[in-house]
Amino acid sequence: MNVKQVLLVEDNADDEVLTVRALKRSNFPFEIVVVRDGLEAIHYLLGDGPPTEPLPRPLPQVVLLDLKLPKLDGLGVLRRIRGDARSKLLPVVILSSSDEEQDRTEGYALGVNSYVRKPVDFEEFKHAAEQLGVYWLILNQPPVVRNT
Amino acid sequence: MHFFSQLFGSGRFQPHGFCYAWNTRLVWLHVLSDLLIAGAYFAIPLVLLWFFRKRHDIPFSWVFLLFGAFILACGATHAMEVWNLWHAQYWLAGAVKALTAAASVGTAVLLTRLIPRLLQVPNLSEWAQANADLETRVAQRTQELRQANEALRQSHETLALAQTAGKIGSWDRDVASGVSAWTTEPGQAYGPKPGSFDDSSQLLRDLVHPDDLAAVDSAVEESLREGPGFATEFRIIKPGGKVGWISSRGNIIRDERGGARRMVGVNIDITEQKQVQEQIRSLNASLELRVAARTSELSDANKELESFSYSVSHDLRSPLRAIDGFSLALLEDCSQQLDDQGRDHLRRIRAATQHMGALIDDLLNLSRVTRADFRSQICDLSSAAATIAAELQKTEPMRHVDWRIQPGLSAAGDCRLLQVALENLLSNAYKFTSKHVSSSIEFGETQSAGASAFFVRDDGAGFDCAYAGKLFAPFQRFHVAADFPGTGVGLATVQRIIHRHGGRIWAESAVDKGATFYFTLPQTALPGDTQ
Repeated sequence: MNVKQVLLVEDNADDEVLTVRALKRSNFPFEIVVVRDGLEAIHYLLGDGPPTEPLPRPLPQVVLLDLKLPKLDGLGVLRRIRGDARSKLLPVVILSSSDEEQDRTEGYALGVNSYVRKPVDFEEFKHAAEQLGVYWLILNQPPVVRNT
Repeated sequence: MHFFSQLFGSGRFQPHGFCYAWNTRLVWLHVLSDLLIAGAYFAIPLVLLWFFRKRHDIPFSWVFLLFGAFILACGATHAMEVWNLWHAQYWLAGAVKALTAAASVGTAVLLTRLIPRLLQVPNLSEWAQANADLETRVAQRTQELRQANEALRQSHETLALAQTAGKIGSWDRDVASGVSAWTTEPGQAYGPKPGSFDDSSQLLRDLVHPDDLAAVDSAVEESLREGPGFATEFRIIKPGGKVGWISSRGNIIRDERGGARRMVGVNIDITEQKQVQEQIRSLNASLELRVAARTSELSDANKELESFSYSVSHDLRSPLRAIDGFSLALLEDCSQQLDDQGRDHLRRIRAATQHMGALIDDLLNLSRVTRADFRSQICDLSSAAATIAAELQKTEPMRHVDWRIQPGLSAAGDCRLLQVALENLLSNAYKFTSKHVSSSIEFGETQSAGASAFFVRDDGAGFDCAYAGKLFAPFQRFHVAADFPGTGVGLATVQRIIHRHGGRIWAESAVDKGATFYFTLPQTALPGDTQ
């Protein structure tokens, strides 16, 4: 069985280090792939070809998506993921500094699976990341996606 | 034949002169006297006849005619007397006498029967009196008529004055002939001179603006068919080409079968009103444009504020998270290399970043209070306060606080915002009573300056009223953070919420005597600003 994979879409290097550090503290094996902007995320997940082509690689277990991203923002990435038949069931968790009502509402409207606000207090953040890891990598059963 | 020969014959009789023994003087005395009598008697009816030809109004004229016939007959008997002096035709004389007798008796009888009626004919003095009375009455009536005429003239003048001032012209139109007439000068503003005009002359219709003609015609025709009248407004083109406005009202006068007979009405020059209306309309339109522009500016400013808040929410927190995160990483990973002072520094860094995070959150909340949509409904303040009190009590279960929440208090407003206001006020009260072993916090309603006000009262640390002016400004704090932690944004938030409800907020306090915060919520809460 392959090592479970998490895709972290995060442009801030500090946040990336801290998120990876927090996730690593839960003691189970998984791989973290980090991409820096929205277009890179789409490129990694769906490739550059038309939606009829096979995916470039198997989908990750979960995508942790920041909202404020260069080029294509987090909600734009989510829209592309949900709009593509190959990835529309992929679990996506928004991990954002913002708890603006409009972001939450729009995120859920676009079909996000969960919305987590990054706390300033790193203790809290670690705790949140740990819970996220346990839930999405261990407890949650992802949908069966046939790679066509 | 025998009768006539006897009547006109002299028979065996002697002429009457024989009786006078043909005494010349006696004969001539009779002849002259009889001839004079006969002449006079013949003259009288002629005079009467002439009189009647001149006067046709004489009552009982037949009596005079009868009287004339009787005198004529008398004249004839005297003429026969002269004739009989030389001709002995006494039968003829007798017949004439008999006729005279008949006329005389008839006249006498009829006259007798006429007397009572003749008595009723007024005599001359009565006529004079009647005439005098009549003249007095005529004079009186003339005077009355003159007065009425004067009043009518004055009334006409007043009406004309009013109509001139009001630029009103009245008209009367005969429906059958189509002939209309101005009954009052329509004034210079309208254009046409008073006088008759009809449809064929086009005098009136020529003035109506071509675009309004059809509407005017149909209004008039419809009222002629079924209405009691019409009221319409139309434009006219005045002499000189200027456009004016006329308000026209007409009433239909119908015959007993309901057919329209006449139409009377007034035309009022409303050009000035229309101009004023147009000015008002254009002012309103420009005002609306300005309001729309201002609204759009405000909406832009609001959007800018929103995107600013959004950036603050995102971008100010990220570095804080990094500072806190890496400080903690240092503490975790390099704890061995640090001495107590180093660890204490890192802890202070972390405490400061967390305080900064709280400040940012509070600022965002403050800006949300202003930005959020306002949804007005009836809010149960008592149960909201009770819930908040229970939550606060849970944070420090060992503390003894006497919560006194007046039941049944409600107000119209945005319940979510009012909840935030109550949270801030009650948690402030809870915080500033924390140094007391036991304390009381009260929420209720009271009368203040004739209006009803809600209040939150505590018996905690209180503050110096000299600084009350700064109480509601953001970041103003009255206590050192070590005693009572906080960001100084809570009361500013409360004030904004109350102001958005159109209410007032103020406080009374003294150091160590507790504090009371009062706020009013108008009965029909209107949002102070809406998005």
